[in-house]
Amino acid sequence: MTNVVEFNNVKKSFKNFSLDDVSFSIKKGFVTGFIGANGAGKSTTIKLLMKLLRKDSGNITIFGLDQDKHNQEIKERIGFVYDENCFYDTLSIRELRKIIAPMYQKWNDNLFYKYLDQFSLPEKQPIKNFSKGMKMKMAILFAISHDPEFIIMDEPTSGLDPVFRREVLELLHEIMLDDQKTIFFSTHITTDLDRIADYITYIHKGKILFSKEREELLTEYGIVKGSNDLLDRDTVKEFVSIRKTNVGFEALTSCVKKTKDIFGDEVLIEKPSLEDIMYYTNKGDLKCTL
Amino acid sequence: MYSLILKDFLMLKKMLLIITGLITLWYILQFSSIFIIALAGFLFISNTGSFEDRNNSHIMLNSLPINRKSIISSKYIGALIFGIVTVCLASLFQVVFYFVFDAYTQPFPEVYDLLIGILCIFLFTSIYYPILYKFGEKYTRIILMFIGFTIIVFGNIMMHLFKDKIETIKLFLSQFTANQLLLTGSVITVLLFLLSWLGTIKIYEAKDF
Amino acid sequence: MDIIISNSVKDPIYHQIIKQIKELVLTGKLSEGDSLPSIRQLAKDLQVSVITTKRAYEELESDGFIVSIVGKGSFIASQNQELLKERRLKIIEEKLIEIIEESKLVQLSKEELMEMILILYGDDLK
Repeated sequence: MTNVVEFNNVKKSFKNFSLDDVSFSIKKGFVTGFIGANGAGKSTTIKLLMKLLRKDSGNITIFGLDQDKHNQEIKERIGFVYDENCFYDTLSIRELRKIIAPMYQKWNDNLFYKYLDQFSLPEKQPIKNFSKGMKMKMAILFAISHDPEFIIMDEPTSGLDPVFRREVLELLHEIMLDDQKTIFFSTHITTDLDRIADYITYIHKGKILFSKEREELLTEYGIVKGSNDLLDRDTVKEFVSIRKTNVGFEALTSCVKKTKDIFGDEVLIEKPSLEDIMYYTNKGDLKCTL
Repeated sequence: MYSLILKDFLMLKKMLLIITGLITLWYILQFSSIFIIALAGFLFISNTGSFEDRNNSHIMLNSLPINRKSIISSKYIGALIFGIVTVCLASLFQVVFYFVFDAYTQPFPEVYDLLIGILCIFLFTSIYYPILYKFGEKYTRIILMFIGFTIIVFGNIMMHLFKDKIETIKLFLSQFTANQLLLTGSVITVLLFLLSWLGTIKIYEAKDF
Repeated sequence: MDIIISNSVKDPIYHQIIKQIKELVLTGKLSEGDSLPSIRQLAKDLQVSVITTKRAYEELESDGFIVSIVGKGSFIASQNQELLKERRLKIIEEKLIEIIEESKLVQLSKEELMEMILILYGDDLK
């Protein structure tokens, strides 16, 4: 299993925020979802990946190549979808194609027109008249028409209706039928990740907390529900964080096995959602002493 | 590189029509060629700058397999091309106006005028782009207005303070022929243009988005 | 070929896939040489992770139910015929025991039961 991307000890500081010693990798042939609260560092990481920001220190390799030395070669093989509008809005898709297509050696007009048709996008209208969904489809269109090996998306489905989000996921699944492709996308909409992600990378306050197989994550973590009487100074330490109510507590554990050993039948343990994991982790600290 | 330059012209389709319209108007009003060329250049360059900024296009541009050097170079080369095109257009217009409307005293504009016009474009480019890429569109307008204001005020003050010296300066300059002065001016402007080009590349390469 | 996955059941998804494919084989809906969808196609259809379908196929292969050929895909393996028959015989045996117990309850004799079987079997042949 090869890595398309390797981040090694990357640091980047801003006035109010810093990415602190970030190391993780993105595996080839899989879909990696990138989650984290607002301000946790998702956009910063993606911008570093795309060289929109320059790192303070550390090492970033993409396709095994050093990002600093092989920037153009790398960009030829990457498709990038950004959530804000960054295309010239007075131009039409036809005109944008005239500007963008010559930049790529592997630009494929067959692919371009196929998807243009599939997405039902108008070719000659200025894009400022497009709806949000159409703009996103267009961004995807331009990102995939040069047959990239690696597709990076920054919140591609935010602000889009559920119907459209499903369409995007269908498209991503279609792309992933090819085992040479890799997708990395950041999102808040964890339910989208439930339908496609193979790996999840979670960033929290500028640090990578974990980068794991999604299904494994959902079996290792659990939502624990039980009586408040069960909580004492020692047991509280077993959980990532706890939500106490008048009618019992709900907590997240990062080691279901251990929790089962300690509490046995006294608690109810359920499969967590990614959203649960994010919520509770944000509340507390991550611990796993398995 | 070609498609980058093309983008600047495509971006301003409507504006180019307006500029052509304005040029026509100015010719009707019989403005000097220098003014027309310089102003057309000013409009073109400041509009490409603001369009670029407004559309957040840096993100798209930097995701393409091109280096930052090319992005900036396309701007300077684009300005050069626009200058040449404007000069040709200006000449064409004057010819038309001379023969068709009997305006102007001669069919072709003076070469001096054309040259000075294009030098003005160069000069403006040299000042505009580094400021734009360093400070962004919003502040650039303010800064340019400030610079313009300063020049006017400063110029006036200088004029008053050195009233007597002006004669000496005029005497000094009259030593040289118009050609020599123009040549010196051209060389200085071109040098400034090139320096600005290199400087803006450096600014852009260091930028974080 | 149908595979229906439940997200709300405690059984992990790869396990459900394995169980259902095994059942399809045992009930004869899938037979030797039948091709299975690629792990990626299956992941797309079920909208699950490719890692999940990969794990399911790997386990099915180590259990001898399927074979995967690089470049061609995955197919139902051959030894299952005997296994299939064996399982079927077991099911028949269990059902016969049930029938015999029912018969005993209504005091049906062995001979009467055999006659019933012959008649019913005979009808089938027609």
